[in-house]
Amino acid sequence: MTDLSKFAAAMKVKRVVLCSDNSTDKSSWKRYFVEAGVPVAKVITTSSFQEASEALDKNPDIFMTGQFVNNQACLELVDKHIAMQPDRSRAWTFVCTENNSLLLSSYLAEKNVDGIILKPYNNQDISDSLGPSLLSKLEMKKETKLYHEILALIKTDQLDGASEKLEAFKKGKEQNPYPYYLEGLIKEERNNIEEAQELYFKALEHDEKNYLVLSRLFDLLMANRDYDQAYTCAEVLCENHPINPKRIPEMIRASIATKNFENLIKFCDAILNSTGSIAGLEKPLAAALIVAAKSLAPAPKARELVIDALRRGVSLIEKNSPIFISALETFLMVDDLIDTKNLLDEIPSDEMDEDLLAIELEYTYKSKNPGAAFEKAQALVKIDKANEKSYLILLKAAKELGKDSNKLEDMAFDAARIFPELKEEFLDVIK
Amino acid sequence: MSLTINPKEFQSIHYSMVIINETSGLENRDVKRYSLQELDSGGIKLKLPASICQKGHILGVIFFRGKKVKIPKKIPASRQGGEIFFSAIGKVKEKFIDDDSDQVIIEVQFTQFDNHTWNLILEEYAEKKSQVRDLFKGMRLNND
Repeated sequence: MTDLSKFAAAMKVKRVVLCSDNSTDKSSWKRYFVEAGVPVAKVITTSSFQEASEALDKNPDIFMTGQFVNNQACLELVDKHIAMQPDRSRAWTFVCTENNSLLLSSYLAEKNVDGIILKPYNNQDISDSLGPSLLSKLEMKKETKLYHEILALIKTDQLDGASEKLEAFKKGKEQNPYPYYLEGLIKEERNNIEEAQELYFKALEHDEKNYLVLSRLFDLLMANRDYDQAYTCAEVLCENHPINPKRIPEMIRASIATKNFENLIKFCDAILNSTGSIAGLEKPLAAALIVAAKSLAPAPKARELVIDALRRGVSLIEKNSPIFISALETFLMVDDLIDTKNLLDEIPSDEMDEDLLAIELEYTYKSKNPGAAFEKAQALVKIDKANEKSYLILLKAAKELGKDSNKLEDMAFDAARIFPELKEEFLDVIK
Repeated sequence: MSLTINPKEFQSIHYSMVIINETSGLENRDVKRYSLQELDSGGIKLKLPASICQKGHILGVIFFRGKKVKIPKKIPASRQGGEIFFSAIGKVKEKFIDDDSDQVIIEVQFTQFDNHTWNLILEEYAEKKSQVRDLFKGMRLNND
């Protein structure tokens, strides 16, 4: 059992706000705090977000919420409390949740939440989750307090004060990553991005796997479009820590920018093969798989990998997005006519726009013969549904069918009247 | 090196449940309306609709692993096999009203259950809690 008496003695003036939609939660938590001698100021039901928010205006030292953390309202309350109590050496924010994935924990820990109680739980679990965090701040060393004070000053834009205190914090810590980290944050706030980056790299010299430094550096490098270094940073982060799910889309972007396509497909596969929630990640994952597949498609050896990635990608998205069109084009690039046909068949005819009709035309060209493609392309021209790709197939099919050169030229000039910028390309096809 | 992830990090332990009220003979499979509140070495606390049972009733509690598991139309008499991960018979020892919803909290004391599988479930949750605590500890300043 946690040494509650110690906590109670030091917490005479502390106020607690508890917020949950579950009366058992609230009574269990309340019992814990009351036993610790902490005055519980308010116990609120989650149906009243407004009431919880107003209770936070009174600046409680401890705030605990037990709504589903996927609930945006819950996260807003957590953010509000952390913003109101920027000095984390003097305040606590706790979350109780049924979602026990490490990704969520990582996300909340990075927000500066102090602890999570995972459901189902018992009194011992409350004590084990809350106790160490409560006590650690009571027993916090001077220099750790100073670290939190500096962070709070940075968060509240009091940068001169932060720099002043940093000088005291630096003493005797030449081998410690945190002075560099804090100085980096200050430089960032002062918009000295290059110096901030250098300081983060210095911090990593003293602790190459430090989560806070790596994640901050990754975000900064991505913002500066330094994808190569950002990717390296992401590798170390992924290797050593659970990923904050909010960072996954940026990791995907770094992989695409650095052309690490095969690794990207493996990365997405690993996420999709897990049984956990990927809510909100469907679109970035689909886009990643399809972009990676398209880039690998020209290599014949990668055909199976490409098709598998495309299948996974299209299963995550709606059938009318630009990325879906890109997937269909890639299926055709690798001559996977069966998947192309199956996907085209799923689209209602009244939803077939010019892009999809062009893909259907190319499918006809590849699966049947130039004659069938020519007829279909002419039909599209007649109803004004031919895009530039359809015109190219029309000309290609016409040439293969042996149409005479005058007729071919007339067709190419007709196409060029609609797409003048492609005139040379149209003429090339009929050469 | 590449972007390697541990799929386990994405996983959230979850059990879906079917409750059979052995006293009234009614089976309730409205799995979304049950939630596990507490687990201990010989029983559970559950939050569920008030109409399902009364204090003193005997319940069959059947655990299926995962949120999206396909629950069979007919639960076998043996309460074993297929997707069933764990089953127990227990008595409703207490029933509390939940002030904030139309549901109740019941405390079920198991009388017949597979101790080994139950311990696996307890250990699985305990391990996850320990991983989360370590993660939070790891993100604090080293000299905290």
